[in-house]
Amino acid sequence: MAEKGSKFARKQRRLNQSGAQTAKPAKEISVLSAVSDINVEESAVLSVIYDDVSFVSTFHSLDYENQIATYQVLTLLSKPSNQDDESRNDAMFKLERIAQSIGLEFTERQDCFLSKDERHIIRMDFYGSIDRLKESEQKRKLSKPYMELMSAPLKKRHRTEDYDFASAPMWPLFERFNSFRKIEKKLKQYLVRKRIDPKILSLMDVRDFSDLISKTFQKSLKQVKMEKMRSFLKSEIHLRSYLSDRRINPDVFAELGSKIHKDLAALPDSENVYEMKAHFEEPISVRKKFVHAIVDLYGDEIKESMLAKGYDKRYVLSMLNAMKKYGSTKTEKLVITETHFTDRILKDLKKFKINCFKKGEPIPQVLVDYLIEGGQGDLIAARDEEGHKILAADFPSFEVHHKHAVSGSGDLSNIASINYPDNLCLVFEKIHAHVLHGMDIIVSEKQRDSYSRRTEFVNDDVIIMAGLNKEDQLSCSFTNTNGYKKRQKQDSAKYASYPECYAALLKNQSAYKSPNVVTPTKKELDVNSVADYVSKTYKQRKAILKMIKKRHEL
Amino acid sequence: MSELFQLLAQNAALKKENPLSPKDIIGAQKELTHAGFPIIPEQFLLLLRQFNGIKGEDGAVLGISPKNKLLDILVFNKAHNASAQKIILGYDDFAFLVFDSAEQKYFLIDRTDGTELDDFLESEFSSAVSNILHF
Repeated sequence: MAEKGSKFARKQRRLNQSGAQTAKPAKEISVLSAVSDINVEESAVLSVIYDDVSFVSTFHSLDYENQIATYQVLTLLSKPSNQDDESRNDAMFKLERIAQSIGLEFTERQDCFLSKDERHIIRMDFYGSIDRLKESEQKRKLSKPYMELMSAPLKKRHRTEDYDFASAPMWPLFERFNSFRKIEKKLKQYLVRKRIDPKILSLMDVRDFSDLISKTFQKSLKQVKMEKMRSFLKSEIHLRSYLSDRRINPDVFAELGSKIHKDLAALPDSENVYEMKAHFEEPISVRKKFVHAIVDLYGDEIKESMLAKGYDKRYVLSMLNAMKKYGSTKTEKLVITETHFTDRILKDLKKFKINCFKKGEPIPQVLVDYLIEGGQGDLIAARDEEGHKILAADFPSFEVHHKHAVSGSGDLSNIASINYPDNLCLVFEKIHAHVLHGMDIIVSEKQRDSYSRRTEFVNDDVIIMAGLNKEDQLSCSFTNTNGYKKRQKQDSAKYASYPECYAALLKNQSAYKSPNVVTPTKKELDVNSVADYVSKTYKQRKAILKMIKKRHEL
Repeated sequence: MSELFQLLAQNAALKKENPLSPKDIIGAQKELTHAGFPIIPEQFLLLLRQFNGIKGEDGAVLGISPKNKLLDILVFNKAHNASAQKIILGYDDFAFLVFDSAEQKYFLIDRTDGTELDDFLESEFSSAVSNILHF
């Protein structure tokens, strides 16, 4: 606790002497009130801030929410915007020591040049999705040759072999990533289907390729609806088989099933309206694959650790199930379900004439999947004592963090490795935002050199961080597995240099000539009928009208 | 914008979790200006009136005094913004989504070295938001 002479002791003495509760350290209190949640105790946070001796152990004795608030206050006080040198230096000192005790360190940013295009590719590879460009964006962001050739289909289809991706100067930048190598065939098939001139590949820049990927993989609302239906039907088959095995007539679900089918049928199904995002990763993105792998490997440990911290079991199990099934960590979409049938659930199911379950019986996973896929998760939603639904948003959720920054990966010989599992870590969202990214800051051009700190792990093998104490971390090394070695070998073989690729593209683009605008000959301009006129192109029609006008003038 | 609202609704974003009153908006704008940041662009306010703070995968769109303090636009900007002409509206593991009041454009900015990753005109606002959420 507070030592004689420490700031905390001095502050406490002053408070005691004055007897006034309002005499608080203004700066720290105002910073704290700005960042804190309802669960944060002011005295707990200040007990670390004004303790100069045992602040590290005091920090570790706090609960998670108070630790986060303390870390946030120290981070804010350590920033150059705090003009008070003493408090700023003191905060930085404590922050460094606390970070060290968690297994983190502050490193200076290193400028390892990585082009904007390459960062765009890494981002696509990680999330497995691309945003469809709006018309105004297409005009600004896509190259002229690409736009022209995409909008001028040939009369004859080429074969897939005619589309030589090796002739595309920018494709090697994509080819370094397994996710893009896997979709090359589909891109070719799209180009064949759309009868696009094969020379387009030699003229495409990175944005053009991402547009091609989004066009190839975009789904209409009809396709999305069909997928949802297929996914529900699959869960329905599993449920029916489960019920049959237990000699329960599957038709007890007829009424609920019919409601779900009706709801699904009412979803929009336009063939011409597309999703905003195209998901190209097959079957799942790098990010989702990582979440799957971690839950497969350490699901039990995560469960035990979270239960030991006192989090609701129903939340923990529902979250792990979503992570395992969908690779998703987004809790707002998550329905927390009961683990066993309750009176309320049985009453709600009875409304659909479902009477085959008993109170206290575990809810079978097939039923959970069926109801979630059918949008009826509320029927088994977990509730508190007052009957209110328990919301996942009230619990800590996980996010995926890159341990080494993407921007600093310019010197890597295998750039794809930035998205490898050994560079990723599953962390609680608040730790992600306030601790691991706590130092990130936007500055003006003039200030850019003065802010360069980043928080990194001392132990590169940490893969889970579910709290701010050492025991909340789990480590694992992926680098010795055969799968890792094989992938690294494959990716490393696809070396590409951005400046060289870009130089080759510029050369090709400068040699490009727009498709010749056919100047109508006098013969072509002869119009004998309205049908003949309508069959001409817009430019030809304009020329014909001009010629007719001239004839009349003569 | 309607396309964006549809995307958000499909992804179960918490709609009107904390409905904004004109008083909340004026209060937030005053506090932001007082802290030295530009005011929140009108289009973003339209979004906040429907979805005040949205969590995505590894990131979020910020809100005005939302229930989840993590998404508070004022707190977040005080912690991560030292620029007088930009305001941070959202983030993911790679980038900040900012509005540049001088250029009247939205940008994706690398969060570690400030490199501009993408830009969006005011008319492309929904693309900018969709880009940071990764649904």
